[in-house]
Amino acid sequence: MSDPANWTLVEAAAAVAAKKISSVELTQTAIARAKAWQPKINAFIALGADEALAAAKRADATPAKGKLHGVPLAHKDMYYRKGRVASCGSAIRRDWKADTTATVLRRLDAAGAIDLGTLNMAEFAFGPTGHNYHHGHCRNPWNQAHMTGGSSSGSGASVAARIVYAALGSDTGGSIRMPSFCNGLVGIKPTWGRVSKAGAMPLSWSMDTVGPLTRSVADAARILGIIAGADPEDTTASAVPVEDYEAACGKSVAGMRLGLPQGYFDQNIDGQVAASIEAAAKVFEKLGVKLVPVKMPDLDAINAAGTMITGAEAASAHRAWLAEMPAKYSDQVRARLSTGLAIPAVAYLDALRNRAAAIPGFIADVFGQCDALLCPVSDRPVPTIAETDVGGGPAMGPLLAALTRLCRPFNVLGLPSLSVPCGFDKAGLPLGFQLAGRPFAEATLFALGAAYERETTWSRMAPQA
Amino acid sequence: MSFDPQSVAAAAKALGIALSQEQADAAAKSLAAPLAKIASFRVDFDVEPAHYAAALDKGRAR
Repeated sequence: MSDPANWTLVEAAAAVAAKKISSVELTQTAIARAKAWQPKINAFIALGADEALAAAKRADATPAKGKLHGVPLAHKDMYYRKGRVASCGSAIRRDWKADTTATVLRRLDAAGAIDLGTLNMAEFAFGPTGHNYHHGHCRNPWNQAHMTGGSSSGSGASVAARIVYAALGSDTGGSIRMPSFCNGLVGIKPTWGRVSKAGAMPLSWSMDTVGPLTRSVADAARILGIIAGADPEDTTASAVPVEDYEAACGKSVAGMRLGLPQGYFDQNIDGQVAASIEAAAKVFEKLGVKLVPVKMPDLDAINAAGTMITGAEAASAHRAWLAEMPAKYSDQVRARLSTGLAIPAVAYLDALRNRAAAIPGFIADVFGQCDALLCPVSDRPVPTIAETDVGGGPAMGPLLAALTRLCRPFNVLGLPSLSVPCGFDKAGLPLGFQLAGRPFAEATLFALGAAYERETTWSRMAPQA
Repeated sequence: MSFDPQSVAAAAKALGIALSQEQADAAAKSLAAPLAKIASFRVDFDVEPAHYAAALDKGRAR
Protein backbone atom coordinates (compact mmCIF):
# COMPACT_ATOMS: atom_id res chain seq x y z
CA MET A 1 0.00 0.00 0.00
CA SER A 2 1.36 3.45 -0.90
CA ASP A 3 1.78 6.07 1.83
CA PRO A 4 -1.78 7.16 2.75
CA ALA A 5 -0.54 10.70 3.35
CA ASN A 6 0.10 11.00 -0.38
CA TRP A 7 -3.35 9.82 -1.47
CA THR A 8 -5.80 12.19 -3.01
CA LEU A 9 -9.01 12.91 -1.15
CA VAL A 10 -10.96 10.68 -3.53
CA GLU A 11 -8.49 7.83 -2.94
CA ALA A 12 -8.58 8.29 0.83
CA ALA A 13 -12.38 8.32 0.92
CA ALA A 14 -12.51 5.16 -1.20
CA ALA A 15 -10.01 3.41 1.08
CA VAL A 16 -12.02 4.25 4.21
CA ALA A 17 -15.28 3.19 2.56
CA ALA A 18 -13.70 -0.14 1.54
CA LYS A 19 -12.25 -0.53 5.07
CA LYS A 20 -8.72 -0.75 3.67
CA ILE A 21 -7.78 1.82 6.27
CA SER A 22 -9.62 3.25 9.25
CA SER A 23 -10.53 6.86 9.78
CA VAL A 24 -8.56 6.72 13.03
CA GLU A 25 -5.42 5.68 11.15
CA LEU A 26 -5.87 8.46 8.59
CA THR A 27 -6.55 11.01 11.30
CA GLN A 28 -3.60 9.90 13.43
CA THR A 29 -1.35 10.28 10.40
CA ALA A 30 -2.75 13.75 9.74
CA ILE A 31 -2.19 14.80 13.36
CA ALA A 32 1.37 13.50 13.35
CA ARG A 33 2.12 15.35 10.13
CA ALA A 34 0.47 18.52 11.42
CA LYS A 35 2.69 18.45 14.52
CA ALA A 36 5.82 17.73 12.51
CA TRP A 37 5.18 20.48 9.94
CA GLN A 38 3.78 23.17 12.27
CA PRO A 39 7.14 24.58 13.47
CA LYS A 40 8.21 24.95 9.85
CA ILE A 41 5.10 26.27 8.11
CA ASN A 42 2.70 27.51 10.84
CA ALA A 43 -0.32 26.25 8.91
CA PHE A 44 -2.65 25.76 11.88
CA ILE A 45 -4.10 28.34 14.21
CA ALA A 46 -5.73 25.64 16.34
CA LEU A 47 -5.23 21.90 15.97
CA GLY A 48 -8.23 19.99 17.34
CA ALA A 49 -6.52 16.62 17.68
CA ASP A 50 -8.68 15.15 20.47
CA GLU A 51 -11.97 16.18 18.87
CA ALA A 52 -10.84 14.88 15.48
CA LEU A 53 -9.77 11.51 16.89
CA ALA A 54 -13.08 11.15 18.73
CA ALA A 55 -14.93 11.91 15.51
CA ALA A 56 -12.76 9.42 13.63
CA LYS A 57 -13.61 6.68 16.16
CA ARG A 58 -17.32 7.43 15.70
CA ALA A 59 -16.85 7.30 11.91
CA ASP A 60 -15.20 3.88 12.14
CA ALA A 61 -18.08 2.61 14.26
CA THR A 62 -20.79 3.67 11.84
CA PRO A 63 -21.61 2.84 8.21
CA ALA A 64 -20.27 5.32 5.65
CA LYS A 65 -22.68 8.24 5.54
CA GLY A 66 -21.26 10.29 2.70
CA LYS A 67 -18.53 10.88 0.14
CA LEU A 68 -16.07 12.20 2.72
CA HIS A 69 -16.68 9.61 5.41
CA GLY A 70 -13.78 9.53 7.85
CA VAL A 71 -11.48 11.81 5.83
CA PRO A 72 -9.60 14.52 7.77
CA LEU A 73 -9.93 18.08 6.49
CA ALA A 74 -9.25 21.47 8.06
CA HIS A 75 -10.39 24.93 7.04
CA LYS A 76 -9.46 28.57 6.94
CA ASP A 77 -10.20 30.08 10.35
CA MET A 78 -13.14 32.13 9.10
CA TYR A 79 -15.80 29.41 8.89
CA TYR A 80 -17.90 29.52 12.02
CA ARG A 81 -18.55 26.43 14.10
CA LYS A 82 -20.87 26.91 17.04
CA GLY A 83 -18.92 27.18 20.31
CA ARG A 84 -15.50 27.26 18.63
CA VAL A 85 -13.17 30.23 18.26
CA ALA A 86 -13.05 31.69 14.74
CA SER A 87 -10.19 34.18 14.93
CA CYS A 88 -10.46 35.24 11.28
CA GLY A 89 -6.69 35.57 11.43
CA SER A 90 -7.06 38.64 13.61
CA ALA A 91 -6.27 39.93 17.08
CA ILE A 92 -9.74 41.44 17.37
CA ARG A 93 -11.44 38.04 17.17
CA ARG A 94 -8.66 36.03 18.81
CA ASP A 95 -11.04 34.65 21.45
CA TRP A 96 -14.40 35.14 19.70
CA LYS A 97 -16.62 32.07 19.65
CA ALA A 98 -19.21 31.60 16.94
CA ASP A 99 -22.84 31.02 17.89
CA THR A 100 -23.72 29.32 14.63
CA THR A 101 -22.17 26.82 12.23
CA ALA A 102 -21.41 27.74 8.63
CA THR A 103 -23.57 26.05 6.01
CA VAL A 104 -20.46 24.75 4.24
CA LEU A 105 -19.18 23.09 7.43
CA ARG A 106 -22.58 21.51 8.06
CA ARG A 107 -22.56 20.10 4.53
CA LEU A 108 -19.03 18.71 4.93
CA ASP A 109 -20.03 17.25 8.32
CA ALA A 110 -23.05 15.60 6.71
CA ALA A 111 -20.75 14.06 4.09
CA GLY A 112 -18.74 12.49 6.92
CA ALA A 113 -15.62 14.69 6.95
CA ILE A 114 -13.43 14.90 10.05
CA ASP A 115 -12.57 18.49 11.07
CA LEU A 116 -8.95 18.65 12.23
CA GLY A 117 -8.91 22.32 13.23
CA THR A 118 -8.58 25.87 12.03
CA LEU A 119 -6.00 27.12 9.56
CA ASN A 120 -3.86 30.23 9.35
CA MET A 121 -5.02 33.01 7.06
CA ALA A 122 -4.39 36.65 6.28
CA GLU A 123 -5.90 38.99 8.86
CA PHE A 124 -9.61 39.20 8.00
CA ALA A 125 -8.75 37.59 4.62
CA PHE A 126 -7.41 40.96 3.47
CA GLY A 127 -3.99 40.12 2.03
CA PRO A 128 -2.57 38.06 -0.86
CA THR A 129 0.80 37.02 0.59
CA GLY A 130 0.32 34.84 3.69
CA HIS A 131 1.82 37.31 6.15
CA ASN A 132 0.08 37.44 9.53
CA TYR A 133 1.41 39.68 12.29
CA HIS A 134 -0.98 38.33 14.95
CA HIS A 135 -0.67 34.56 14.49
CA GLY A 136 2.69 34.37 12.71
CA HIS A 137 3.41 34.21 9.00
CA CYS A 138 2.45 31.05 7.19
CA ARG A 139 5.36 29.50 5.26
CA ASN A 140 5.51 27.61 2.02
CA PRO A 141 6.17 23.86 2.49
CA TRP A 142 8.18 23.78 -0.74
CA ASN A 143 10.62 26.37 0.65
CA GLN A 144 9.97 28.07 3.95
CA ALA A 145 11.63 31.31 2.87
CA HIS A 146 8.84 31.78 0.33
CA MET A 147 5.31 33.01 0.80
CA THR A 148 2.28 30.73 0.69
CA GLY A 149 0.10 33.29 -0.97
CA GLY A 150 -3.09 34.40 0.67
CA SER A 151 -5.42 34.95 2.02
CA SER A 152 -6.06 31.19 2.38
CA SER A 153 -2.45 30.65 3.43
CA GLY A 154 -2.88 27.77 5.88
CA SER A 155 -5.26 26.02 3.50
CA GLY A 156 -2.57 26.03 0.84
CA ALA A 157 0.26 25.01 3.16
CA SER A 158 -1.62 22.22 4.98
CA VAL A 159 -2.90 20.50 1.84
CA ALA A 160 0.45 20.82 0.06
CA ALA A 161 2.27 19.39 3.08
CA ARG A 162 -0.03 16.34 2.86
CA ILE A 163 -1.48 17.00 6.30
CA VAL A 164 -5.15 17.20 5.31
CA TYR A 165 -6.77 16.03 2.09
CA ALA A 166 -8.53 19.31 1.33
CA ALA A 167 -9.24 22.67 2.94
CA LEU A 168 -11.78 25.37 2.40
CA GLY A 169 -10.49 28.78 1.42
CA SER A 170 -12.27 31.90 0.31
CA ASP A 171 -11.62 34.07 -2.73
CA THR A 172 -12.44 37.78 -2.98
CA GLY A 173 -9.50 38.80 -5.16
CA GLY A 174 -7.53 35.60 -5.71
CA SER A 175 -7.38 34.18 -2.18
CA ILE A 176 -7.98 30.56 -3.28
CA ARG A 177 -6.11 30.69 -6.59
CA MET A 178 -2.98 32.47 -5.34
CA PRO A 179 -2.20 29.97 -2.54
CA SER A 180 -3.07 27.14 -4.92
CA PHE A 181 -0.52 28.55 -7.35
CA CYS A 182 2.12 29.06 -4.66
CA ASN A 183 1.72 25.59 -3.11
CA GLY A 184 1.23 23.44 -6.23
CA LEU A 185 -2.47 22.75 -5.64
CA VAL A 186 -5.79 22.79 -7.40
CA GLY A 187 -8.23 25.51 -6.29
CA ILE A 188 -11.69 26.40 -7.50
CA LYS A 189 -13.10 29.89 -7.11
CA PRO A 190 -16.71 29.22 -8.00
CA THR A 191 -19.24 31.52 -9.62
CA TRP A 192 -20.40 34.18 -7.18
CA GLY A 193 -23.45 32.72 -5.43
CA ARG A 194 -22.63 29.09 -6.31
CA VAL A 195 -21.74 28.34 -2.64
CA SER A 196 -23.48 29.68 0.44
CA LYS A 197 -21.61 32.25 2.51
CA ALA A 198 -23.80 31.78 5.59
CA GLY A 199 -21.52 31.49 8.61
CA ALA A 200 -18.45 32.61 6.68
CA MET A 201 -16.64 35.80 7.71
CA PRO A 202 -17.44 38.57 5.23
CA LEU A 203 -14.78 40.64 3.54
CA SER A 204 -16.66 42.05 0.56
CA TRP A 205 -20.19 40.64 0.28
CA SER A 206 -20.64 41.10 -3.43
CA MET A 207 -17.25 39.60 -4.30
CA ASP A 208 -16.68 36.87 -1.68
CA THR A 209 -16.73 33.24 -2.79
CA VAL A 210 -16.14 29.96 -0.96
CA GLY A 211 -14.23 27.02 -2.41
CA PRO A 212 -11.68 24.28 -1.72
CA LEU A 213 -7.93 23.88 -2.21
CA THR A 214 -7.09 20.28 -3.06
CA ARG A 215 -4.46 17.89 -4.40
CA SER A 216 -6.34 17.02 -7.58
CA VAL A 217 -9.07 18.32 -9.84
CA ALA A 218 -11.35 15.41 -8.95
CA ASP A 219 -10.93 16.26 -5.26
CA ALA A 220 -12.01 19.84 -5.92
CA ALA A 221 -14.97 18.57 -7.93
CA ARG A 222 -16.05 16.35 -5.05
CA ILE A 223 -15.85 19.10 -2.44
CA LEU A 224 -17.62 21.67 -4.61
CA GLY A 225 -20.38 19.18 -5.42
CA ILE A 226 -20.99 18.78 -1.69
CA ILE A 227 -20.96 22.44 -0.65
CA ALA A 228 -22.63 24.07 -3.67
CA GLY A 229 -26.30 24.88 -4.00
CA ALA A 230 -29.13 26.98 -2.67
CA ASP A 231 -29.30 27.78 1.03
CA PRO A 232 -32.25 29.35 2.87
CA GLU A 233 -29.72 31.00 5.20
CA ASP A 234 -28.05 32.90 2.35
CA THR A 235 -30.37 34.56 -0.12
CA THR A 236 -27.46 35.22 -2.48
CA ALA A 237 -26.81 31.48 -2.85
CA SER A 238 -28.05 30.52 -6.30
CA ALA A 239 -30.76 27.97 -7.01
CA VAL A 240 -29.13 27.05 -10.33
CA PRO A 241 -28.92 23.22 -10.29
CA VAL A 242 -25.56 21.79 -9.22
CA GLU A 243 -24.03 19.68 -11.97
CA ASP A 244 -22.26 16.37 -11.46
CA TYR A 245 -18.76 17.82 -11.25
CA GLU A 246 -17.06 14.49 -10.62
CA ALA A 247 -18.59 13.01 -13.77
CA ALA A 248 -17.38 16.08 -15.68
CA CYS A 249 -13.80 15.18 -14.71
CA GLY A 250 -13.99 12.09 -16.90
CA LYS A 251 -15.34 13.78 -20.00
CA SER A 252 -13.39 14.19 -23.25
CA VAL A 253 -12.31 17.72 -24.00
CA ALA A 254 -11.57 17.11 -27.68
CA GLY A 255 -13.21 19.82 -29.73
CA MET A 256 -13.49 22.29 -26.87
CA ARG A 257 -12.24 25.81 -27.54
CA LEU A 258 -9.68 27.29 -25.16
CA GLY A 259 -9.15 31.04 -25.35
CA LEU A 260 -5.61 32.43 -25.22
CA PRO A 261 -6.02 36.04 -24.01
CA GLN A 262 -4.57 38.76 -26.20
CA GLY A 263 -3.94 41.69 -23.90
CA TYR A 264 -3.93 42.16 -20.12
CA PHE A 265 -3.12 38.55 -19.16
CA ASP A 266 -0.05 38.52 -21.42
CA GLN A 267 1.26 41.89 -20.21
CA ASN A 268 4.22 42.19 -17.81
CA ILE A 269 4.43 38.44 -17.23
CA ASP A 270 7.67 36.84 -16.01
CA GLY A 271 9.35 34.63 -18.58
CA GLN A 272 9.13 31.43 -16.51
CA VAL A 273 5.41 31.97 -15.92
CA ALA A 274 4.78 32.73 -19.59
CA ALA A 275 6.69 29.61 -20.65
CA SER A 276 4.63 27.45 -18.30
CA ILE A 277 1.40 28.78 -19.80
CA GLU A 278 2.67 28.11 -23.33
CA ALA A 279 3.61 24.58 -22.32
CA ALA A 280 0.17 24.02 -20.80
CA ALA A 281 -1.48 25.25 -24.00
CA LYS A 282 0.47 22.64 -25.94
CA VAL A 283 -0.82 19.91 -23.64
CA PHE A 284 -4.38 21.04 -24.29
CA GLU A 285 -3.71 21.12 -28.02
CA LYS A 286 -2.49 17.54 -27.83
CA LEU A 287 -5.79 16.65 -26.16
CA GLY A 288 -7.68 17.92 -29.19
CA VAL A 289 -8.60 21.26 -27.67
CA LYS A 290 -8.75 24.09 -30.19
CA LEU A 291 -6.66 27.10 -29.12
CA VAL A 292 -8.31 30.40 -29.98
CA PRO A 293 -6.73 33.85 -29.58
CA VAL A 294 -9.23 36.10 -27.78
CA LYS A 295 -8.84 39.85 -27.49
CA MET A 296 -9.45 41.06 -23.93
CA PRO A 297 -11.75 43.98 -23.17
CA ASP A 298 -10.66 46.80 -20.83
CA LEU A 299 -9.93 44.82 -17.68
CA ASP A 300 -8.21 47.77 -16.00
CA ALA A 301 -11.68 49.30 -15.76
CA ILE A 302 -12.99 46.09 -14.25
CA ASN A 303 -10.12 46.08 -11.75
CA ALA A 304 -10.84 49.69 -10.80
CA ALA A 305 -14.43 48.71 -10.08
CA GLY A 306 -13.11 45.89 -7.90
CA THR A 307 -10.96 48.31 -5.90
CA MET A 308 -14.01 50.49 -5.23
CA ILE A 309 -16.29 47.58 -4.35
CA THR A 310 -13.96 45.67 -2.04
CA GLY A 311 -12.65 48.87 -0.48
CA ALA A 312 -16.07 50.27 0.35
CA GLU A 313 -17.64 46.99 1.48
CA ALA A 314 -14.70 46.01 3.69
CA ALA A 315 -14.52 49.50 5.21
CA SER A 316 -18.21 49.34 6.01
CA ALA A 317 -17.88 45.95 7.69
CA HIS A 318 -14.92 47.14 9.78
CA ARG A 319 -15.89 50.77 10.44
CA ALA A 320 -16.94 50.31 14.06
CA TRP A 321 -13.79 48.38 15.00
CA LEU A 322 -11.61 50.88 13.12
CA ALA A 323 -13.08 53.64 15.28
CA GLU A 324 -12.94 51.68 18.54
CA MET A 325 -9.67 49.73 18.34
CA PRO A 326 -7.54 50.76 15.36
CA ALA A 327 -4.34 49.58 17.06
CA LYS A 328 -5.58 45.99 16.98
CA TYR A 329 -5.20 45.87 13.19
CA SER A 330 -1.85 45.30 11.52
CA ASP A 331 -0.48 48.35 9.72
CA GLN A 332 -1.30 46.93 6.29
CA VAL A 333 -4.90 45.95 6.97
CA ARG A 334 -5.62 49.20 8.81
CA ALA A 335 -4.17 51.18 5.91
CA ARG A 336 -6.25 49.32 3.34
CA LEU A 337 -9.45 49.61 5.36
CA SER A 338 -8.82 53.31 6.00
CA THR A 339 -8.57 53.88 2.27
CA GLY A 340 -12.01 52.40 1.81
CA LEU A 341 -13.54 54.90 4.24
CA ALA A 342 -12.95 57.66 1.73
CA ILE A 343 -14.63 56.07 -1.28
CA PRO A 344 -17.62 58.21 -2.22
CA ALA A 345 -20.97 56.41 -2.19
CA VAL A 346 -21.57 57.39 -5.81
CA ALA A 347 -18.23 55.90 -6.89
CA TYR A 348 -19.09 52.64 -5.11
CA LEU A 349 -22.52 52.49 -6.71
CA ASP A 350 -21.12 53.37 -10.12
CA ALA A 351 -18.65 50.51 -9.74
CA LEU A 352 -21.50 48.12 -8.93
CA ARG A 353 -23.54 49.38 -11.87
CA ASN A 354 -20.57 49.18 -14.19
CA ARG A 355 -19.98 45.59 -13.17
CA ALA A 356 -23.60 44.69 -13.82
CA ALA A 357 -23.39 46.31 -17.23
CA ALA A 358 -20.00 44.79 -18.13
CA ILE A 359 -20.86 41.13 -17.51
CA PRO A 360 -23.12 40.52 -20.53
CA GLY A 361 -20.61 42.15 -22.85
CA PHE A 362 -17.67 40.21 -21.46
CA ILE A 363 -19.54 36.92 -21.75
CA ALA A 364 -20.66 37.64 -25.30
CA ASP A 365 -17.29 38.93 -26.50
CA VAL A 366 -15.10 36.34 -24.79
CA PHE A 367 -17.18 33.23 -24.31
CA GLY A 368 -18.79 33.67 -27.70
CA GLN A 369 -15.39 32.59 -29.01
CA CYS A 370 -14.27 29.96 -26.50
CA ASP A 371 -15.44 27.61 -23.75
CA ALA A 372 -12.80 28.77 -21.26
CA LEU A 373 -9.84 31.12 -20.97
CA LEU A 374 -6.31 29.93 -20.15
CA CYS A 375 -4.57 32.59 -18.02
CA PRO A 376 -1.69 32.93 -15.59
CA VAL A 377 -2.59 33.21 -11.90
CA SER A 378 0.43 35.30 -10.99
CA ASP A 379 2.65 37.60 -13.02
CA ARG A 380 5.74 36.21 -11.25
CA PRO A 381 7.12 33.06 -9.64
CA VAL A 382 6.42 32.66 -5.92
CA PRO A 383 8.23 35.52 -4.13
CA THR A 384 9.90 35.22 -0.74
CA ILE A 385 8.27 36.33 2.49
CA ALA A 386 10.95 39.01 2.85
CA GLU A 387 10.36 40.42 -0.65
CA THR A 388 6.67 40.87 0.04
CA ASP A 389 6.96 42.13 3.62
CA VAL A 390 5.91 45.71 2.82
CA GLY A 391 3.61 46.44 5.76
CA GLY A 392 1.36 49.47 5.25
CA GLY A 393 3.98 51.70 3.64
CA PRO A 394 4.23 53.22 0.18
CA ALA A 395 5.32 49.95 -1.46
CA MET A 396 2.11 48.23 -0.35
CA GLY A 397 -0.30 49.53 -2.97
CA PRO A 398 1.74 48.71 -6.09
CA LEU A 399 2.78 45.27 -4.77
CA LEU A 400 -0.70 44.14 -3.76
CA ALA A 401 -2.20 45.49 -6.98
CA ALA A 402 0.36 43.53 -9.01
CA LEU A 403 -0.13 40.31 -7.02
CA THR A 404 -3.93 40.37 -7.46
CA ARG A 405 -4.07 41.83 -10.98
CA LEU A 406 -4.61 38.55 -12.82
CA CYS A 407 -7.10 37.02 -10.40
CA ARG A 408 -9.32 39.95 -9.45
CA PRO A 409 -11.14 40.49 -12.79
CA PHE A 410 -12.92 37.16 -12.36
CA ASN A 411 -14.06 38.17 -8.88
CA VAL A 412 -15.48 41.44 -10.17
CA LEU A 413 -17.20 39.64 -13.03
CA GLY A 414 -18.39 36.84 -10.73
CA LEU A 415 -17.00 34.14 -13.03
CA PRO A 416 -15.66 30.73 -12.00
CA SER A 417 -11.93 30.05 -12.23
CA LEU A 418 -9.97 26.86 -11.60
CA SER A 419 -6.28 27.03 -10.65
CA VAL A 420 -4.19 24.01 -11.70
CA PRO A 421 -0.47 23.32 -11.07
CA CYS A 422 1.64 23.21 -14.23
CA GLY A 423 5.29 22.96 -13.26
CA PHE A 424 8.06 24.42 -11.16
CA ASP A 425 10.31 27.45 -11.47
CA LYS A 426 14.10 27.41 -11.38
CA ALA A 427 14.03 27.73 -7.58
CA GLY A 428 11.80 24.67 -7.22
CA LEU A 429 8.62 26.56 -6.35
CA PRO A 430 5.34 25.56 -8.04
CA LEU A 431 3.77 27.28 -11.03
CA GLY A 432 0.15 27.13 -12.17
CA PHE A 433 -2.49 28.45 -14.54
CA GLN A 434 -6.15 29.33 -14.20
CA LEU A 435 -9.06 28.36 -16.40
CA ALA A 436 -11.96 30.83 -16.33
CA GLY A 437 -15.40 30.17 -17.74
CA ARG A 438 -18.97 31.32 -18.12
CA PRO A 439 -21.14 31.74 -15.02
CA PHE A 440 -21.91 28.35 -13.47
CA ALA A 441 -19.62 26.56 -15.96
CA GLU A 442 -17.57 24.89 -13.23
CA ALA A 443 -18.14 21.48 -14.87
CA THR A 444 -16.43 22.67 -18.06
CA LEU A 445 -13.43 23.87 -16.06
CA PHE A 446 -13.22 20.57 -14.18
CA ALA A 447 -13.32 18.64 -17.46
CA LEU A 448 -10.46 20.68 -18.89
CA GLY A 449 -8.43 20.65 -15.68
CA ALA A 450 -8.81 16.91 -15.15
CA ALA A 451 -7.86 16.17 -18.77
CA TYR A 452 -4.71 18.28 -18.34
CA GLU A 453 -3.93 16.55 -15.06
CA ARG A 454 -4.14 13.11 -16.65
CA GLU A 455 -1.46 14.15 -19.16
CA THR A 456 0.93 15.54 -16.55
CA THR A 457 2.39 14.65 -13.16
CA TRP A 458 2.55 18.04 -11.43
CA SER A 459 -0.38 17.38 -9.08
CA ARG A 460 1.26 14.22 -7.77
CA MET A 461 4.39 15.97 -6.56
CA ALA A 462 4.71 16.77 -2.87
CA PRO A 463 7.20 18.79 -0.81
CA GLN A 464 9.59 16.84 1.38
CA ALA A 465 9.28 17.19 5.14
CA MET B 1 -13.44 63.03 -9.76
CA SER B 2 -10.48 64.61 -7.94
CA PHE B 3 -9.28 63.45 -4.57
CA ASP B 4 -6.90 64.90 -2.04
CA PRO B 5 -5.68 63.88 1.41
CA GLN B 6 -7.84 66.47 3.13
CA SER B 7 -10.96 64.98 1.54
CA VAL B 8 -9.90 61.52 2.67
CA ALA B 9 -9.26 62.67 6.23
CA ALA B 10 -12.55 64.58 6.32
CA ALA B 11 -14.53 61.57 5.08
CA ALA B 12 -12.95 59.34 7.72
CA LYS B 13 -13.45 61.93 10.44
CA ALA B 14 -17.13 62.20 9.57
CA LEU B 15 -17.34 58.46 10.25
CA GLY B 16 -15.61 58.86 13.61
CA ILE B 17 -12.14 57.74 12.53
CA ALA B 18 -9.05 59.91 12.77
CA LEU B 19 -6.41 59.33 10.10
CA SER B 20 -2.86 60.56 10.32
CA GLN B 21 -1.52 62.78 7.57
CA GLU B 22 0.53 59.84 6.30
CA GLN B 23 -2.54 57.57 6.18
CA ALA B 24 -4.58 60.19 4.38
CA ASP B 25 -1.81 60.80 1.87
CA ALA B 26 -1.48 57.08 1.14
CA ALA B 27 -5.24 56.59 0.80
CA ALA B 28 -5.62 59.54 -1.56
CA LYS B 29 -2.76 58.29 -3.69
CA SER B 30 -4.11 54.75 -3.97
CA LEU B 31 -7.63 55.91 -4.79
CA ALA B 32 -6.69 58.43 -7.45
CA ALA B 33 -6.31 56.06 -10.41
CA PRO B 34 -9.37 53.84 -9.77
CA LEU B 35 -11.52 56.87 -9.06
CA ALA B 36 -10.41 58.44 -12.33
CA LYS B 37 -11.34 55.23 -14.08
CA ILE B 38 -14.75 55.18 -12.41
CA ALA B 39 -15.27 58.79 -13.46
CA SER B 40 -14.67 57.75 -17.06
CA PHE B 41 -17.45 55.14 -16.96
CA ARG B 42 -20.76 55.84 -18.57
CA VAL B 43 -23.27 53.24 -17.51
CA ASP B 44 -26.78 53.13 -18.97
CA PHE B 45 -29.28 55.07 -16.90
CA ASP B 46 -31.46 52.02 -16.17
CA VAL B 47 -28.73 49.67 -14.89
CA GLU B 48 -29.03 48.81 -11.19
CA PRO B 49 -26.38 47.15 -8.98
CA ALA B 50 -28.76 44.26 -8.37
CA HIS B 51 -28.63 43.37 -12.07
CA TYR B 52 -25.32 41.67 -11.24
CA ALA B 53 -26.85 38.36 -10.14
CA ALA B 54 -29.31 38.42 -13.01
CA ALA B 55 -26.46 39.00 -15.47
CA LEU B 56 -24.67 35.92 -14.13
CA ASP B 57 -27.81 33.82 -14.46
CA LYS B 58 -28.46 35.06 -17.99
CA GLY B 59 -24.83 34.41 -18.92
CA ARG B 60 -25.06 30.69 -18.27
CA ALA B 61 -24.53 28.30 -21.17
CA ARG B 62 -27.98 27.05 -22.25
